[in-house]
Amino acid sequence: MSTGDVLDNIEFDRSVIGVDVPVGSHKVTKREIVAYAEAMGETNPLYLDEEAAKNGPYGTIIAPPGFYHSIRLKQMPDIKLKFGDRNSGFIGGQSIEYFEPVRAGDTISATAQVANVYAKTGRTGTLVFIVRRTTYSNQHGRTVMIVDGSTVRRGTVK
Amino acid sequence: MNQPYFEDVEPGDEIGPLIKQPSREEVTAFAKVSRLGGRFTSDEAAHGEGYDTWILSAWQSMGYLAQVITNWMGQDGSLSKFQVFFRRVVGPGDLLECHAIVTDKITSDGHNRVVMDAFMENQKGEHLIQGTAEVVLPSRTSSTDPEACRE
Repeated sequence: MSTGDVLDNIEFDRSVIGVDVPVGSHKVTKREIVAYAEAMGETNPLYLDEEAAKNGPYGTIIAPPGFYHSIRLKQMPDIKLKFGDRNSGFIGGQSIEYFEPVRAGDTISATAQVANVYAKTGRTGTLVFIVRRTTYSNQHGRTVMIVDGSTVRRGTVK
Repeated sequence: MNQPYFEDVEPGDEIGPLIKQPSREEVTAFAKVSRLGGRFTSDEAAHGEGYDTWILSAWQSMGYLAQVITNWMGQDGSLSKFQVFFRRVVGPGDLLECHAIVTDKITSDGHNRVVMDAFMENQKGEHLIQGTAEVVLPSRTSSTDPEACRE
């Protein structure tokens, strides 16, 4: 069951919803990509082998799809949710749209916003879902990916 | 790496499995490159957060699931969409199988898109991650620019 009414009784900062804020930028090195790919047990030469990648479709090493998690960003927008226990929080899911690869040497900038907050109530209580949208762009101003990530907080509405 | 072409793919085609059994050293290595600590590297920290032992980062598990797809799509394929839901915690020593199954193929905006379900299961058959993905594949009869999916 999904109810908007439940949210009316939960305190959080609604003013941040839909407001994009810059959360940092990072120059991606070949070394970082290779280290990430090796840690993931990748075998794809596009991520690991400079010579093979040079002759591939992108002309250089590119990052695996999950590499963006290793880019350290500043504090994401916080809705200052006063509900449940912080330790009851968990990651719900991720939805990513990729537009072009991250290449070695790219400078990736990110903006983030709280895109949506919604609640579901079931047998075990109420779950509040916070969806944060992070948009990653390269030094050419082109969007390389948009990531919607949801975190979930469990609690009981008083 | 074999290159699949859009014309050769049909709904029902199975992709994978990719099998992983991450060791503690591999989990630690991933945590290092991802700048993670706490429950991903330390039993003590994991206990403090209510886990029996250290666990895998969701990002590592998700990366494995993406890998079964990127291994399959070849150099001229590109992952355009990937959506996952995390169902269960992945623990050390779990035997992980990553699978994908083609559910649809669509040509839209001039791009050849293959849609698939993807999931990761453990040695007990429990689904740890479930998701969907879309891959743009080259055609045997047209341009194979992997960046053609860019809008």
